[in-house]
Amino acid sequence: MNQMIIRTISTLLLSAGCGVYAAAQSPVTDSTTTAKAASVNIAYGTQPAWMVTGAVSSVKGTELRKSFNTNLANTMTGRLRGLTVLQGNTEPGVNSPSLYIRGVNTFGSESTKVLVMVDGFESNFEQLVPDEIASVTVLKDAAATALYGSRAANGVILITTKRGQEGQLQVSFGAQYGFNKPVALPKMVNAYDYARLYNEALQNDGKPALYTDADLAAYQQGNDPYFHPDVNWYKQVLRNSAPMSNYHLNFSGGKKAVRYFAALNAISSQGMLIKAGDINEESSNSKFNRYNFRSNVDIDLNKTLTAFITLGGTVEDKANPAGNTTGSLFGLMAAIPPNAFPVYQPNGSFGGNALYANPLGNMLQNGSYTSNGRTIQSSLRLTQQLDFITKGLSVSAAIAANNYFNSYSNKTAQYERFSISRNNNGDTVYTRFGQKTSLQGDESRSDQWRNYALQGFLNYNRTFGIHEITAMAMYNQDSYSISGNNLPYKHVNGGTRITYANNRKYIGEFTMSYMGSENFPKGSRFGAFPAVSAGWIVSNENFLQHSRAITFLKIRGSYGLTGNDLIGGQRFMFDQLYPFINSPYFGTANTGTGGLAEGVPANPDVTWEKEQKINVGVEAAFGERWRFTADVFKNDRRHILARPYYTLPQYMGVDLPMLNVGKMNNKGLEALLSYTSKPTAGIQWMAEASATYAKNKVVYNAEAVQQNAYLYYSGHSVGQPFGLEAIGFFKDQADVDKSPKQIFTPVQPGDIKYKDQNGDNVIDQNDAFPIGKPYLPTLTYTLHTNARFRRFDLDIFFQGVNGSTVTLGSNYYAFQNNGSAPSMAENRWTPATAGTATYPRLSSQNNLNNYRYSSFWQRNGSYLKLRSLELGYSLPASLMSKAKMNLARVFVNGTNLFSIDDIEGDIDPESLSVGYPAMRTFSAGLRIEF
Amino acid sequence: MKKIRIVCIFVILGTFTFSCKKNFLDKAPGVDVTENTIFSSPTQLETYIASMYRHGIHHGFCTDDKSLTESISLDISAGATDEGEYAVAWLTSQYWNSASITASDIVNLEDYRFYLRWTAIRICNIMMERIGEVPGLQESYREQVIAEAKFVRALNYFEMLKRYGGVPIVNKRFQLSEELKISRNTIEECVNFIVNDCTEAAGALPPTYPSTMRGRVTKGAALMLKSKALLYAASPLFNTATPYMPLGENNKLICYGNYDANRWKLAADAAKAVLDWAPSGNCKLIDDKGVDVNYKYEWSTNDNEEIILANKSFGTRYPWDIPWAVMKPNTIANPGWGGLQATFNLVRKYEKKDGTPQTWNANGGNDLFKKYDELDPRFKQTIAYHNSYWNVETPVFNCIGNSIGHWMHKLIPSDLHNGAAQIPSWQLFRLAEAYLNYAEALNEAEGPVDAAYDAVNKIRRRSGMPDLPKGLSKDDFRKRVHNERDIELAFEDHRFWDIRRWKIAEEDGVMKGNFWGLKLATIPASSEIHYEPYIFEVRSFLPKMYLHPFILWEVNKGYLVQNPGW
Repeated sequence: MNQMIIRTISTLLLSAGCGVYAAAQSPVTDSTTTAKAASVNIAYGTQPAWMVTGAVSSVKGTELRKSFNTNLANTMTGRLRGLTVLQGNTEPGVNSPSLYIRGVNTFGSESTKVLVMVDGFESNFEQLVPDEIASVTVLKDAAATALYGSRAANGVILITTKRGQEGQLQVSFGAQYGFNKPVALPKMVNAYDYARLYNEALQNDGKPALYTDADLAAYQQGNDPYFHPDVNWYKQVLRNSAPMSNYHLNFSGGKKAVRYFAALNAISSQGMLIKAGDINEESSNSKFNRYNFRSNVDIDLNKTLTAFITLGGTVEDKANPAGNTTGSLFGLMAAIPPNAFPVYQPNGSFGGNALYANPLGNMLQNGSYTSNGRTIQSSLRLTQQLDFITKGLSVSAAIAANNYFNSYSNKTAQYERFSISRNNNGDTVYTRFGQKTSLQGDESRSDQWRNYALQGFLNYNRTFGIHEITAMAMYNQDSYSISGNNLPYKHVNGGTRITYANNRKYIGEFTMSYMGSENFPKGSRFGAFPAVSAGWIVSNENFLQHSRAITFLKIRGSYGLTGNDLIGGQRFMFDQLYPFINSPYFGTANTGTGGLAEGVPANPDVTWEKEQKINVGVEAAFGERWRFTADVFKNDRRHILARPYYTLPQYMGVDLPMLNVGKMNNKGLEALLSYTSKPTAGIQWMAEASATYAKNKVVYNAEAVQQNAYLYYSGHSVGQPFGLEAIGFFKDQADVDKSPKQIFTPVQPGDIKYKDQNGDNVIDQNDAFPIGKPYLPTLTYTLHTNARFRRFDLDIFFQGVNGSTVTLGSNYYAFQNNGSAPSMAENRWTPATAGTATYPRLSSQNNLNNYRYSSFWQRNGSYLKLRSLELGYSLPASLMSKAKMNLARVFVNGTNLFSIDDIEGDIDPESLSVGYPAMRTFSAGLRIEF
Repeated sequence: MKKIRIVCIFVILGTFTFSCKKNFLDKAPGVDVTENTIFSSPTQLETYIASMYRHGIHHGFCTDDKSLTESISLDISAGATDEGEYAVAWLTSQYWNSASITASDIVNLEDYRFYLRWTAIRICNIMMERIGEVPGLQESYREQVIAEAKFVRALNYFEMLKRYGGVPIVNKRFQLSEELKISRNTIEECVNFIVNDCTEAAGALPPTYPSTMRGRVTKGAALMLKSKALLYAASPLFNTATPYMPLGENNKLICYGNYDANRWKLAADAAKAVLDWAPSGNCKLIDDKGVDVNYKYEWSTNDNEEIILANKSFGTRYPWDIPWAVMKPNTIANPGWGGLQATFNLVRKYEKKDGTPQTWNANGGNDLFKKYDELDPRFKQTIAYHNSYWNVETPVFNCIGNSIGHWMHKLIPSDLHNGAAQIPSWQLFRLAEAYLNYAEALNEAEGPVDAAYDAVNKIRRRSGMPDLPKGLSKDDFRKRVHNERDIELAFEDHRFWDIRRWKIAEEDGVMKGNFWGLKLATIPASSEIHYEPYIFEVRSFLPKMYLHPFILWEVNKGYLVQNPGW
C-alpha cells in the first residue's frame, strides 16, 4: 500500500513536471505568499506579501467550498500548509475536529489549543460557511504570532470575513444538493457464523457447546426468524444515504462612502438514521440545520473617519431520536450478537433481552433530543486618519462581543421489549424487559460561551524615498466566559510592531507584546514576548534583477519568544484550596455530613509555557511557471506544567503541586511546489504539491524513576503509545510451557504471545514497550490540481498523512462482554490454521490476555485520500451577458471519495471507533453571479 | 466635520481610560476555603472531622472512593482466600490465587488505599497540630477530637502493619520544603506507636454516643483496635526470631526478631478490656432473635448493638451500584457483574449441629439437602445454596450448572432489590471478634483455661451450637478457635489476614493446591439433589506473599526497603 502511495505521488509530481503547455486567463491557484503585490493578513493588520518576514499560509474561502461539510474546520483539512485537522466525530452538528499547527509543541492535553481569531477577535468559528469567508490565514512562527503573546505558542488562525468593495451591486447565488453515504460500517458476523464461532470459543474454554446442529442449521437456513433470528441492525436502523444541502445568497457592493457585504446561507444535513419521527411522533427525525447571516458594512463618516461594522450570526437546530448524539446507538448496534433477538417478536412487540435493548426500539420509543444553538459575532471598529498630525498616522479603536448559546431539550421515555422461550408444553413464553413510561421532558441543560474585547491601535505607515516604515502600537483586553460557574478568562495585552524596508531589498521587523492573564499570581502575571525577523529579496538585487530563470527569490528568517497560558492543571494554582469531598454519613440515616479536604498545595511561581521559535524560509519563482516555498522551523518549549512529585515520599500525605518544569521541542519543515501552465488558449492547468513534516520530542517531564529504561516517556513524541509487543500466537502447549508467564489470565495455544522486554520471565505491565507511533501524523501532504478546458473545469485535491499509528478498539474483540464478533474473527487461530491465522483463538469469556492494548491491535494510520473532486461547466460568456450574468456554473462534487491505506477491510483510518461512521459525500450544484 | 473628528478621538481615548481598570486581571472573590478557615470555628472544624473519617476509615467492600483516589480494587478480599471464588475472571482476586502479584500494580490488586492512608495520616497530624487554635471549642470536645485523630492514625498504621510490616512513622505534618528521608520503622516501633495511640485515645473517648453521632469512634473502638494490633503482633508471622523470608540486617522490619510468649498475654488482656467495656458502651452480642436468625440479623442490620465501629462512607445504594453490583451473583434476576461463589473448602468447615464434623462423600451423594439441614445454623445464614431464598425477585436461588455450587450471601441483605436501595455499612469491629481474639490469645498465653472456653462458647451458643468439648489440648483448642473464627467471621475481611499472621497460607488447601466446588444435579422423581465434589481450580501461594510488596514507584524513590522476594 505504501508503494501505491509513493507511486501516486510520483505520478502526480511527474505530470506536473512534464508540463503540458497550454493556455488561458488568470492563474488558478490557491496560492499563498506569492511575490505579487497582494496583501496578506497578519496579526492585527495586513502587509504587502513582499514585506512579510514571518511564516504564514492562507487559503481563500472559495477553496474551502470544495469540501462539502457542515463544519468549517473540516473543510480546512489539508488546505493550509502547517495546519493538521484531526477529524474526530463525524456526526453532523457534533463534529468538532482538533486543530494542530505544525504538530504538537507541548505535552499538556489542554494546552495544544490553537487561538482562532475571527475578524480580529477570539470567537467560535466552526459555524461559519466558506461563502462568507474571504480568507483563512495560519500564523506559524514567532514573528507572525508574537503579538498574541502568551496565547501564541500553539499558532494562530485568522479568519477574515468578506467585506464590500466600491462598485456595482454583485449578487451571488449558490445551491448545492447531495447525499452522504457511510465510507464503511463495522463488519460483524451473521447469526450462523456467530453460533458456529461461539461454539468453538466455548470448546476452547473447555465448556460444552451451546448451539446444537439443529440450531446451526436453523441459522443457516434462516427459516425460524423468531427463535433463530439473524439481525443486521444497521439495515434496520440506517438508511442508505442521507441528504445534505446548502443554499447561499450574497450581495456586495457600495458607493464611495458606504460599502457592504450581506450574506444568507442555509445548510442542512440529515443524519443516517431512518426517519424515526415520521414513524412515531414522540421520536424525532435526525437532522441538523444551520442558518447563517452576515452583514458587514463599512462607512466613511467623513474623509478621514471610517466605521467598520461587522455582524454575523447563526441559528442551529439539531435533533436526534434517543439522545443528543447517536454514539450509544451505534455502540449498541455493534455489540448485539446477531442472533440475540429478532427486531419484532411474533406478537409485534420489540425484541430484547436482559443485556441489550433493541436499537430500533430505542430510536422509536426512547423520545428525542433536540438542541438549538445561536451565535452572534459583532464588532465595531472606528479608524481615524491623523494625517493632520503627521502623514501616514492613524488611530483606531474596536469593541466586539461574540457569543454562543445552545439550549437542549431532552424528552425521554422507556418502553417494553420481550424475549421469548418455549416452555415444556411447547408454548411461547414472553419475558418482559423494561417498562413503558410516558414522555418526560428536561430542558435544564444549556451551554454558552461569550467574549467581550476592546482594542485600540495607533498605526503609522509612510515611505521616504527608498525607506518604507510601518509601525503599529496596540492595546487589547478581553474577557471570556464559559458556562458553569467558572470565573471568566481574561487577558490584557499591549504590543508593537515596527517594520522597515530598504529599497524593497532588505526588510527588518521587530514585534513585541506585553501580556498578562488572570491565571497567574499578581506581580508575575505579565510577560514580554519579543520577536525579530528579517527578509532579503535577492531577486531585487542587481545581479538577479534581469534573470529569467529566477524571477523572484526571498530569504527570510525569524526568531522570538511566544507563550501559552493554557497550561492545564487547576486554575489559580497560586492558591491552595480546600475543596469539598464526598462525606461520611454519621448517624443512622442517609444523611451526608459536609467534608473539606486539603487540596493540592499552592504553586506560587506558576507561570505560562514559553516557546522559542526559529524559522527560516525561502520563497522563489522560477520563470513564469514554477513556484517554490520552503520553511524549516524549530520550536523549543519550556515551563510546561509537569508532575514532579515522583521523587517525594508518599508519606507526605499530599502531592507536590504541578510545576513549570517540562521541556520539549518540535522541528520540521514545510514545502510547496507549484506549476502553472502557460496562458494559451485551450487547456490551462496548475498542479501543486505541498508537505508539512513536524516531529516533536519530550525532553523533560519529571517522570518517575523507572527500573527499565524503555519505560521512560521522555525522548519520545507526545502521545507515544506504550503497550505489550505481540510476537505471534502460542503454537502449542510446549510453547506455552517454555515461554515467560503471562500474568493476565492462564494462556493456551492460539493466545497472543508477548515479548518479555526486561527478561524477568514474567509478562506484566513492566513489559509495556514503546510500540508504534503517536496518533497525530508527522507528515501531512497534499496534491492539488486544477484544469480548465474551454468551459469545463476540474479540481482534484488529495490529502495524505504518514507516521501515525491507530488502534483497533474493543469493538473488534470477539465475544467480549457478551458481545458480537467482528468478521475479522473468522480468521482466528485454530490448530489447523495456526500458520495463517490473523486473529487469536476465540474465547467465550472475557480474555484479558488477548483483548488488551498491545501492538497486535495497532495499525499503520497512514492514508492518502481523495478529499475532493469537482467537475464544473460554465455557460458561454455570450449567453451569460445576455442574461446579464457574470458567471453561471453547474458542477458535481465528491468529498472523501476514496482512501488508500494499510488497514484490512473497509475501515476508515480516521474513524476506527464505533460511532457515527465516516461519510463520503456526493453532490451537484449551481452557482450564479450577476 | 471637525467636531465629529474630535468627538471620535475622545471616544477612542475614552475607551482606553475606561478599560485600564486596575484590577481587571484579579481573581474575583469566591467561596474558597483555606486551612485557616477550617480552624476558625467549631462549625468549620466539623467539616474537617468529616474529612478525617472519610479518608481514614476504610471498609472491606470494593472501592467506591474514586473522588479520593484513582486506584481501584473491585474485589472483597474473600475472593483471594479459601472462602470464595469470583464468578468472573477479570476481578483481581485471580492474581492472588495464581500468585501473579507484582509490585508495580499492588495498589490496584488489593491496597487501593495506599495513597489515601497517608493523606488520612496527614489530616490527623494537622488536626492535632491546629485544633488548639479553634476559638470557642469546649475543652472536653477538643480532647475527644484529638483522641479520634489518634485512633484514625493508629487504624491506618495497623492497616499498613498487616500488609507491609514496618513502615515509616509520620507523627507530624511535613512541609514540602523539608528534607525528607524517613525510612521504615521496625515492627516493634510500629506496634508500640499504634498501641500508644490507642491507649491514649481510649482514655479520652466516651464509651458511647447519641445516635446522631453513630459512626464516630468510641472508647470501645480504640480498645478493639489495640486488641487487634496486639493479637497480630503476637501471632507467628511477626512474633518470631526468623522472618518468613530473610531480609538480612532489615529483618526487624518484618518481624520482632525474637519470640516472646508475653505478647500473647498482652493480646489477651487487651481483648478482655473490650469485653469489660462493652456493657458501658451498650454493646452486646445479638442473642435474642432466635438461634437460627441471630447471626443473619447481626450482619444484615446496620447500627445493631453488636457493632463497635462501622464504616459510614456510603449513603443508600441501589443494587446496580457499587458495591452491591460487584458482589451480587450474575445468576439472579437483575444480575450483578459477577458475584462471589463460596468454595466447598469453606462449606466443609461447618460442623454439624451436634458439634462434630460433617461427613461429605468424596465420590458424591444424593442427599445434599439432608446434609445442609444437619449443618451449623450459620451455614444457611452465610451461604446462598441451591433453592435458598435470595430476595423477593429471586425467591428460589439456583446453583445448578452455573457455579461451583455455592455463593456468598452474607454482606448482601435480602432486603436489597431493584425497588429497595440499602446502605452498605461495613462492620470494622464487632463484639464477637473480641471474644474470639480473647479465646485465641488466652489459649496461646495460658492454654485452654475456662475463660477461653467461655469466650468461644458464648459465640457458639448464640447460634445454637453446643459448647466445645472439655479437655482439649492447647493445639486442639487452637484448631477449634481458628475454625470458629473462619465460620463466625467468614467474608468479613479476616481470613485473608488470619492465614498470613498464622503463617498457614502456604499449606495445602489453604491457599495452595486443589480448590473444590460441588457439581449439583437434579435427581429424577426426587426432591433431593445430587452432589459431587470436584476441583475447580489449582491455586498457588508464594512465601513472599506473606507481606505485600510496596508499590514499585514508591520504592524507586529510594527511601523504602522493599519486602523480601519482590
